[in-house]
Amino acid sequence: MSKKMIVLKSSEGVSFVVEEAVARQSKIISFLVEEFPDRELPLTNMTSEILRKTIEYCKKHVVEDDGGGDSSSSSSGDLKEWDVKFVAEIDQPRLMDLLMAANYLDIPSLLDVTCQKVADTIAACNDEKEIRATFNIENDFTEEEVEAIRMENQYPI
Amino acid sequence: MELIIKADRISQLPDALILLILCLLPMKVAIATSLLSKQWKYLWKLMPKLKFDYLDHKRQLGTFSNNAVMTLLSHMAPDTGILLGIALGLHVHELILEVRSREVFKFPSCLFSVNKLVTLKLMYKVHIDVPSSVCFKTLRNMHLHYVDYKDNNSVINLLAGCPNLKTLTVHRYSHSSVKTFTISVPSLERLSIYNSNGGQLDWGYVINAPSLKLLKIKGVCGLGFCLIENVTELVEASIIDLHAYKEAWWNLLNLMLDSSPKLKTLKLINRWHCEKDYVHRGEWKQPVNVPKCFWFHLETFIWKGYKWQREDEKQVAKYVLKNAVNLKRVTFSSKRIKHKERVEVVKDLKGVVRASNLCQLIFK
Repeated sequence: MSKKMIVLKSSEGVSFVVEEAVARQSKIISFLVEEFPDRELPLTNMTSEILRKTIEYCKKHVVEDDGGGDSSSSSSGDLKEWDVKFVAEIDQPRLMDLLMAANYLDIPSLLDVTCQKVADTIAACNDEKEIRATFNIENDFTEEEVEAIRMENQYPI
Repeated sequence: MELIIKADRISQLPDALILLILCLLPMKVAIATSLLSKQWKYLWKLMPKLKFDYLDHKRQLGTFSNNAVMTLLSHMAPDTGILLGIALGLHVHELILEVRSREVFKFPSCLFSVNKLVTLKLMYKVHIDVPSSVCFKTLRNMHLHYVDYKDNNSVINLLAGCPNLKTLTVHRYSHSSVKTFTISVPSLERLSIYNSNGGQLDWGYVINAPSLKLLKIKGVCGLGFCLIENVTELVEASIIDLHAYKEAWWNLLNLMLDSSPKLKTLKLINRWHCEKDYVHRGEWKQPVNVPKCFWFHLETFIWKGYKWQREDEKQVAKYVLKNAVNLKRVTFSSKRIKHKERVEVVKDLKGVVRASNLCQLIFK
């Protein structure tokens, strides 16, 4: 039996043909496929690049249930390792896009790994200045305001 | 010259996503994000889950008067109580407080009523003093992990103030100042009790939980008594490490069977490796009436670490087989049993005329 395929269309109008099982990791797509079978799904706020990345992730994480064996699905340890590598290779703006995409398409595990990567990046910074620099956050506080917040929210060190 | 203006992508994320990220950070870093920009100033306070780790809290513990705690909410001073105050004032749903310092942290009693907590976990050096009634209306899960209580009344008041509590887990040291731990919670569905060894005869529990479905008691060695008053809805009971003084645990078993007519699964788990039975257990007294749960409900009986050499255990095993009408699965397992002995034990158990003809008996 051939696998059922569905078509996802990026914001640039590029079509991606994906196995349904792969795409169904997105709760939104899962819902849409049931509501509108055989329709092309327009993902208007996802670029081809991000859609490609998202599909790559879903392909890796799809649980093969038709083979009966676990030959094609990776062990959870391998998967974790793969996830770490997957997000490590993505630059920051794209990581944010991917995080948004995971949220938009409702793919909980992808949202987890992308959020974790951002959290790790923040945690690796030495102070708020370094966080600002890393994420290009503009400091709109005066010196005095910063001091006041520091006093107010002081976490005992 | 930099031509591309680097965008601040993280601040453009919806708050809900930023909060997800903040929740993955150590508390200290999450709070430090308040310094990033005006947008970030209050974000951390919206986190649904706060975890305070006392290990990075090197400050001396102060004592907090209730007034001081209320001023916490204006967050002026950096103390655990203050952080707690902020947390509870901010409608945090889950609070885990783990104190491992030398001094005991007194949980500020006024905080027992100003919150929307769903889950509360207090661990180790936390002292609970509840002189009058409290109100934890939203609380559904509570875990009291080796904390201490001022007196019996503190326990009663604390639990009486949780009208919607579903899950309660209690770990207790035998040197705890509270001897009788009274659990009287009409809404409670799952109860787990863990005892450390060494409790005396006057040390135990009174359980009155008419909605209870799941009961787990571990470390019966440190238990003087366990009075089960009202557990009519109980479906599954596990008694783990059954070494009690005198007749305590046989009584517990009888009492429990007698007071839970809907019991479906009974598990006796003995993980103690010691073969010597230097704990004197006393005799088992067959109940006067066959427990009600034996008539319809009891389907699964699991006994791990069955001591086949002991007369009392043999009697209990045979009594269950002989009387439980609806029994479907019975599993025994024993430690360090030789093949020959095993054959004998199985023969002995299978020799019992079983009340249920559907019953499958397995000896692992």
